[in-house]
Amino acid sequence: MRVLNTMKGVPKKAGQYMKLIKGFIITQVEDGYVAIVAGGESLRNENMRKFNGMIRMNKTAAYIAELMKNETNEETLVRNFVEKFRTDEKIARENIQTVITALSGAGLIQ
Amino acid sequence: MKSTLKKELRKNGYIVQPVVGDSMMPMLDEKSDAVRLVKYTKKLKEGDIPLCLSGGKYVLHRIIQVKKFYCITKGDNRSATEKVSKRKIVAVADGYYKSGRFISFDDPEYVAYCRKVLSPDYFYISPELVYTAKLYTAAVKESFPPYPDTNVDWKKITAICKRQKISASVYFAAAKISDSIPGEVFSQFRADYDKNLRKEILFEQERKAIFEAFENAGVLYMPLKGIVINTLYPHRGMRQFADNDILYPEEKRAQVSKIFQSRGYTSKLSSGVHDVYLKSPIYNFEMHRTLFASDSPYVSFFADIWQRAKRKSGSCEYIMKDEDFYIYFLAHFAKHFCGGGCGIRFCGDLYILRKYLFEKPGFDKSYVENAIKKLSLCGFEKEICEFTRNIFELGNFSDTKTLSSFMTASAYGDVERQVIKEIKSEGKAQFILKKVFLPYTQMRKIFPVLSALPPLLPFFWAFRLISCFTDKNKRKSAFFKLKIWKNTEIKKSNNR
Repeated sequence: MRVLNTMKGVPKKAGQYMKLIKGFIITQVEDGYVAIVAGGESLRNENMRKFNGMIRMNKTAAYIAELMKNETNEETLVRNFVEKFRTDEKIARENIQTVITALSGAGLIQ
Repeated sequence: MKSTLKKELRKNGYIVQPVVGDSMMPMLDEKSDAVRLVKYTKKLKEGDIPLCLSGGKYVLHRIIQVKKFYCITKGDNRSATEKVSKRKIVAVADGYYKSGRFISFDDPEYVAYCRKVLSPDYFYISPELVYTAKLYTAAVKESFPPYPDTNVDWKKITAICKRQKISASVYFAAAKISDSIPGEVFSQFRADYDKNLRKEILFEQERKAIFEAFENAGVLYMPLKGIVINTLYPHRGMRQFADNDILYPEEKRAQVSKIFQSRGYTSKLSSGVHDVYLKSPIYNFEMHRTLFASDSPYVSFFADIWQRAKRKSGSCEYIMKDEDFYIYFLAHFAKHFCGGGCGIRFCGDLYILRKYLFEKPGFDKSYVENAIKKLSLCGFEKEICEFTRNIFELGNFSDTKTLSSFMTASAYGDVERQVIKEIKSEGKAQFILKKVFLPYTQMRKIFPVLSALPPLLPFFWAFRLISCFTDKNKRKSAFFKLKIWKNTEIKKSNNR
């Protein structure tokens, strides 16, 4: 996944419940997936403005983000990820933490 | 500058002044050239280049006609003319410096250039306009674009793309030659594409919700124009658009208004053909009650469009048949082209529509031909299809006059061109009278109470005139049109 290195994220703790902000849209485009937020809020957010109000993601990141539209925590995400992609917990956790950090840094997690 | 100018002219008899802007290209390039100015002797002729004070600025354009008290001037790189009082002329050019080399106006090469510029067939188009057109056509037809010349002005190209609303499209061509494009320019194209993709995704979501509301309320609807055309372009987010156009039955107006209001929209209700619904940050829906105004030559052809369109099974959505969609697009194109002009994107849409619709099995070309004949669009269609085929399929950009007409307009046309066209067809007196004393049929649309009380027409004329001066935007628009009216000459020789 293209990691958004320029973003400062505040990693959520493993058991902490989180959810994406309202109006979050994930859609498939030609070269992957994009995430945008309906409404002007995303462009008032400095990080989102850097990416023209849109974050590009690959398939795995889009899957994680889609799960986060409903309230969830890291453990649940890891369980779902392992089952979906048939991978081990360590890889799942790394991917999930990367996505959480990026989305949190963009102010997209409440 | 005025005092320096007078001082230098008095002292040396001349002054050398660098130029600003591109209105006198190719003769004068602001990057490298300067003009030599001498005292104005009150003996002017066609071809002379006076320095005039206009609106607090100095303007240097060529005289194309001399009158008793004023001259008609025009930039070599412009199509619009200006009327300049002789009292506003402060100096006159007698030569110029081209990349440091002095060229006198007696120079045979310059004399030949001047003769060429003054001929009625002369037309100059900047290399940036041509190259932008090449990038755009390459993007839309997904071919490899030409590499730019080393001295191409990218600032001008990005400005052209912005005005034409084709940056998102041009990004796709730029991506293929990104090594030849300055980094910040390429980043801007990418940013414009991203913004447009985001806008398209947001509009898709919003449209889905609005259509659901229409379905629940039993409101019939027919997506028009860009909603359909966008899906035919090679890439999502490629075609920039301003709004979504939807046709619906007039009797559902109140219901539609309620639906939009419940979703947080503000409305600009009109007694014309459509209402506009707006919601921050980007949503703009034009809800059409008819396809054309009642006085349009196309209105009767489309009067039974609902009967000809196909209803989606189990839905309130209607799809215009391909042949009618093409004819409607052409009529809409003609309306803009013959009015204030339009940008190259209309040619892009035409190319895409002909590529996808005409090749579809069962597309009835004879139906389209007959309809176009009926609507007197044959000549227009022939001309515009030939031009589009030349630039998209043959890579032939030699029709510089038509190309410039598209590339110098904004995406949907210019008020200035529209006004000049009206003045030249109606005459100056008639133009002013019509603007001040709008016909009753038009006044009734703006002030619906006139339908019940026609004798109040003079009162509303006065009210409208006063509001032109009290409303800041109306005042600005009125003075802008008045300035064009003042500067427009109605003579055959000025019709360039």
